[in-house]
Amino acid sequence: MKPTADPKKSRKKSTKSANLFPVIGIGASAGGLDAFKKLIKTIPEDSGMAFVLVQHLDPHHESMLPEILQKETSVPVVEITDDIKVEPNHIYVIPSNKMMVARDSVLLLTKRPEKSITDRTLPIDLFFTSLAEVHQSHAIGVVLSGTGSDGTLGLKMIKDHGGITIAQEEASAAYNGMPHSAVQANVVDFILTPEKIPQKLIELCSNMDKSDEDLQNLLQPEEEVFKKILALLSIRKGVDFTYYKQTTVRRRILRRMALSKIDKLATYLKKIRENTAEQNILYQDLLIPVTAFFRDTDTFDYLCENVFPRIVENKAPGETIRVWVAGCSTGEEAYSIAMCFREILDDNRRVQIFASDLSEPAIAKARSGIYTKKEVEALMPKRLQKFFKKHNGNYLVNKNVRDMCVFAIHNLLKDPPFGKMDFISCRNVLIYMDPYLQKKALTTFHYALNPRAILLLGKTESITGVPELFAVVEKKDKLFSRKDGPGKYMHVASQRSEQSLSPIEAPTGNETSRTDFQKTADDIILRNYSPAGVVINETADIVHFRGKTGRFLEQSPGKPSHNLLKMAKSGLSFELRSILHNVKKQNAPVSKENITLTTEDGTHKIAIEALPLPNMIEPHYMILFHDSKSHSDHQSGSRNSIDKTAPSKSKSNSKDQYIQQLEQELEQKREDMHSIIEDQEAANEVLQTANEELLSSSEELQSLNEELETGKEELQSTNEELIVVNQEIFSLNEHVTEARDYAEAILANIREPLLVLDENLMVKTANNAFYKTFRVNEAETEGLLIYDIGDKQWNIPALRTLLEKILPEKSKIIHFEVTHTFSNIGKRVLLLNAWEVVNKNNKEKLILLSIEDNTVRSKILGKIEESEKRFRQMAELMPQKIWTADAAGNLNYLNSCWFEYTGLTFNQLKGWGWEKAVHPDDWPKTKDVWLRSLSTGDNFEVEHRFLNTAGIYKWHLTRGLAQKDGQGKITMWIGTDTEIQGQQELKQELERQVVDRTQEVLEANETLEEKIQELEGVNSELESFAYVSSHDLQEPLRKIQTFADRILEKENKNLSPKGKDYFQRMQSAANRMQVLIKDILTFSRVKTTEGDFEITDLKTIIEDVKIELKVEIDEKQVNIEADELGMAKIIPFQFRQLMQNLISNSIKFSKPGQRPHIVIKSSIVKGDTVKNTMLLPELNYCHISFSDNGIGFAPKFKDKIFEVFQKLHSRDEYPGTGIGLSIVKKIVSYHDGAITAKSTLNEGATFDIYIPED
Amino acid sequence: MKNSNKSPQNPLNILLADDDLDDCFLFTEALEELQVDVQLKMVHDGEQLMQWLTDKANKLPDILFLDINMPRKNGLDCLSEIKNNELLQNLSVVIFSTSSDNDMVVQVYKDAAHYYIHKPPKFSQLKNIIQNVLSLLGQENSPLPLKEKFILTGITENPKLK
Repeated sequence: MKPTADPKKSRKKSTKSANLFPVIGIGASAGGLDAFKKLIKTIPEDSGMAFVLVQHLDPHHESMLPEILQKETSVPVVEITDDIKVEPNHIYVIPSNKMMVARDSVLLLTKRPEKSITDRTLPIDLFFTSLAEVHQSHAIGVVLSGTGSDGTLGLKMIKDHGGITIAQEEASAAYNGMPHSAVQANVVDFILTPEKIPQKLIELCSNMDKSDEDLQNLLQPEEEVFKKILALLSIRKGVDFTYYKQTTVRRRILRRMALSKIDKLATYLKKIRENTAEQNILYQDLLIPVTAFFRDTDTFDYLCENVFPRIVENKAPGETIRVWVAGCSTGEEAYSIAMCFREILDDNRRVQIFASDLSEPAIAKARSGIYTKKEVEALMPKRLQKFFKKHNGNYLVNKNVRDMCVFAIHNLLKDPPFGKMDFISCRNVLIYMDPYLQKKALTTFHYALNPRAILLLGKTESITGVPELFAVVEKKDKLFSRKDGPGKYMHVASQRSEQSLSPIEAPTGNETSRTDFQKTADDIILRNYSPAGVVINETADIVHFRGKTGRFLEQSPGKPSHNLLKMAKSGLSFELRSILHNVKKQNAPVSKENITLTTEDGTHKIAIEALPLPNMIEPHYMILFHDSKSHSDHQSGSRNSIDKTAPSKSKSNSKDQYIQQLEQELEQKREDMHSIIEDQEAANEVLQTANEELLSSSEELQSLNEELETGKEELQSTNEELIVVNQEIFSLNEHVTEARDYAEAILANIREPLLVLDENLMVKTANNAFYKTFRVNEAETEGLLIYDIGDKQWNIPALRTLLEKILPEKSKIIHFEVTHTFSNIGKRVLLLNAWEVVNKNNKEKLILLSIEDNTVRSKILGKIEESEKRFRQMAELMPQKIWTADAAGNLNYLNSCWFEYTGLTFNQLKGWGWEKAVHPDDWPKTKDVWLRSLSTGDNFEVEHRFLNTAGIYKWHLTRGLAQKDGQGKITMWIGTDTEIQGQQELKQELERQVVDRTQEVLEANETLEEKIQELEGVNSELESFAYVSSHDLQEPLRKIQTFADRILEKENKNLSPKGKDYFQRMQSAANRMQVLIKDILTFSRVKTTEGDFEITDLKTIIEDVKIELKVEIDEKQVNIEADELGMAKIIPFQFRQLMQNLISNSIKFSKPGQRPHIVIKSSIVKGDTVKNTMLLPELNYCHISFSDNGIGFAPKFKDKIFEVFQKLHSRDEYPGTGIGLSIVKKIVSYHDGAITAKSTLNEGATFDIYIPED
Repeated sequence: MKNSNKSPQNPLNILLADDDLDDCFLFTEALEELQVDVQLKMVHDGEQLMQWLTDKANKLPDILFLDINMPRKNGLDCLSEIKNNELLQNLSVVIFSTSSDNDMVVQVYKDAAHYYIHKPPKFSQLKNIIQNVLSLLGQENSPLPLKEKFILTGITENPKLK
């Protein structure tokens, strides 16, 4: 991973979406549906987010996903169609056969390519990548259950663009491959169970909605805090982000805050200060991989033209060329080099390119070898065409290039390096390292490279730290060749991290303030008076000589060496080794004195002092040699003095001899040991070299292993897709079986005989109908040539033509008629349909031959034709105009009469053409009637005029009759037209006369009506007059009565008897007048009362009247016989009056001295059985007969008695007003009935009343 | 103060609305002969009646005898007006008419008159009827009678309302 050098680069992606709501991409595969169901169940309706589900699906499988998911949630689930606009609060589902990318808030579908072995489709990665590019920090990616690693790359893209990534908790996933892969790639921010994801999303989204403008214009305090965070990173990570695009940096910091649930910058600053892990995460987030194909074209041109050919030349033909791309990022550099080699090499030369980087996601992408269109833009079209192929809208590196490269996660500062390289490219990596690390890296490269092999560095990088290791080859292009130098790679076995090293303090510079002479003086003193010494490194190699060391050190024969131990003069080596051992162990100055050094000019005693140098990154030691000559002099002097002063010289002499002997012995031993040590060291060195080589090859193996792992993942995911496909095939198979069963059932069930033939016209199957119709069995049919069926009966020439000539050309034949005489079933007319069915896959041809036995039908058709012919002949002979029409009313036949009459041809008249002959005034009516008949099927009948050849319209009666089928549907119309000109004229005359008469009658009627109205008016006036006058008459009459009464009562004593008599007579007259008025009132009211007719029991009427007349009935002991009475439709109130009048009449006119006896009966009679002109003969009447045994009347009065005021007796004989029976008659006539009376004087009387029954 | 529970200080107030002066005279005479303690006020047409009743200065009568046939506003209109006026609707109204028309009787019964008097031809009957009414309506808040008791004739049993 390299931080971006160009701030624009990171933003130079495809158009960003203006959407400010989060878009959540959810990727799932095997087992994902369950997880997704759980997830969407917890999505609230107003989440404000859009969810897009991407699944691995079979391209041919019809997906039910939207329906299934809709059951789980009320949020609308939509299957994506092209250009669908993403809206919040929706769930989108990718259709099965599509890949999807997001473009500026629109989801675009691309056809999913057909699967091939080398070509893996990774729809989740694809979608997530485009989502990241379009929605930037608003994009959120979720990876759910599934095998393989799809989604990991996509999540990385989302994260790189500032979005948020979530993976399903592995334990909750049915298949943990995808989440695991994502988590391993370190691209996942949260690991959650599906149920908890929506809640987390909502939390996150509430923290993320800040626009770019907001970020640029921060308040002062916030600005300060941002600076502090960057300063912190600059210190801890050595990369200063201050000059990076601030919105990007700040958005990423805000994103980290959102993820850490921190809402204040100050709080975050505190956290990042204390938390190294957080520093690392933020640092990773800020790093953006930057690389490109053929970056710095000139350099690559030079490489291709000069460097690589030379490398190839120097190699033996069978040898593999080895290249290392250190810091390869997403692999572009490695592939570029691979392409260069491909261009200059033939295929059988092996080139191995090791490409390494720290970032796992970058390596993953490099391994995938898939690049977007944007990323390959810089490539020459020729190269693009040669080394890439299209893959889901992206580009995939060809296999021959891909196979040249091995990608590995590798820390070049920490991990053992690759070895025996012919070329190393390490561009723009060193610039992020301090000089020490640079040096270390370069040393590593020095080790890794073969002698004189080439190292390529970035534009701003150089080898200044280690000039002894590399020589400049081409300064401009930063090419360096390996020197055979003393550089020695030191593998740091401990897990010492370069990051943990404290930065080297730059030497503080008051040195410059020193004056020159002082320095010179110092130098002289140092040179002349300081002890001789060397500075060595940890491996005892001398890195610096100080003073005159010639007395102590010398080059030993053989290979030149700077090793202190090898250079030490004899006798010193052992001492030095032990001193070095001690100083390393104690890390403090160590010195040893009295070391004997034998030189040409005698033995010296010297002292050796070793000090570790402080403040060094790599331990260095200073070894100082003190010449203790004076000391030795003193010693020897003392010895001399001892010699001189020794009292017993011999004793000391023998002692000395013994000591010398021992010393010699010791010397001998030392030398033995020395040689052993040397041997051991040599062996050690061999081992060391072997070890280094082993480590290198182990690293290589590890890289290869990783590659294989990736390959395995790919296989796994392909395998999974295959499993899915297999399942689908299985279910498709079921469908097919079902469809086949269905088809077979249909085949067996249809009534038409059916044959299935193969392309050689052999019968494959036949259905039951075939066997039945043609009386053959299976054995005689299946597997035989069609012509051979049933004794070669089917060898029909017409059929041969059909099958062998016509069918191959047309592939489909309908209604082909064949007539053939079969020996067993006789002559048959067959209607053949033939279909050629070609199986798309194996080109197998089948012929479906369906046979309809049309014999009966064709016979019937013949008959029909014949009868139609007869009908036509008949029609032609008729003198009338005859036509037929179809159900829609189009005339399709007209007989010759028509043509003779109209002078028009059939073509002119057919259909609706006959309109031309109809009088224009009659046409609308004709059309109406005709259309109505057509729709109802009623007979068509209309009178209208037709134009004849002479140009005269003549009246015709047109009649049409619908012919209907069994269901009552009209099949056709048959019609005639009859000329009715004569009839029509007569009719018109008649009609005219009728109209005249009617007019007259009407007029007379009107006059009559007027008169009736006049009469009615007069009548009602009269009636109201009668009513009002009789009413008003009561008033004065009552006064007369009252006052007469008062006089008789109060003034009785003042009246003479005669006066009293007058008054009584007056009173009696007034009483009579009261009765009279009452009767007239009743009479006049009969008509004016609007009574309702009711079906009433006549007996109850009689009972009511009996109560009313109780006094009179009791007084005269009247016997009323009224048992035979029934019901009648009457107005009860009026009828009560009627009966009352009749009964009181009978009582009044009873014979003196005889008890009145009244018989009332009723029965139903028919009008015509009664001799009464008043009654309607056809009506039923209720006949009520009323007879008494009274005085009766002479027959001649039978009508007169009903007249008003008609009395047959004087008032003195029988009191009364003569209105009673008039009222009776009036009531009866008001009931539309009739009343008659018959009697003989003194023989009683009978009244017959007839009232209509209903 | 026969047949009345009214105190001497509070004689019954009777209002007679009839245009027929003879009837008014006979009514007065009947009251005199009955010797009851009543205050009789007479008006002679419908408008006069309504004016008197709606004039706040006048004390409302205990019983109103109302003729049907009156000039200017007939008795039926007066009755309906009285019964639709909140202040007057509790007034006891006795119809006092020459007419014996059944429709008319049904009409005034519906309009919530208390009794119907068919002006009798005999003075003794008139006296009976008036006494009857006074005793029936002498009490406060007399309930409206049933249909059968609606018509008062002063003779024997009351005729049936048809």
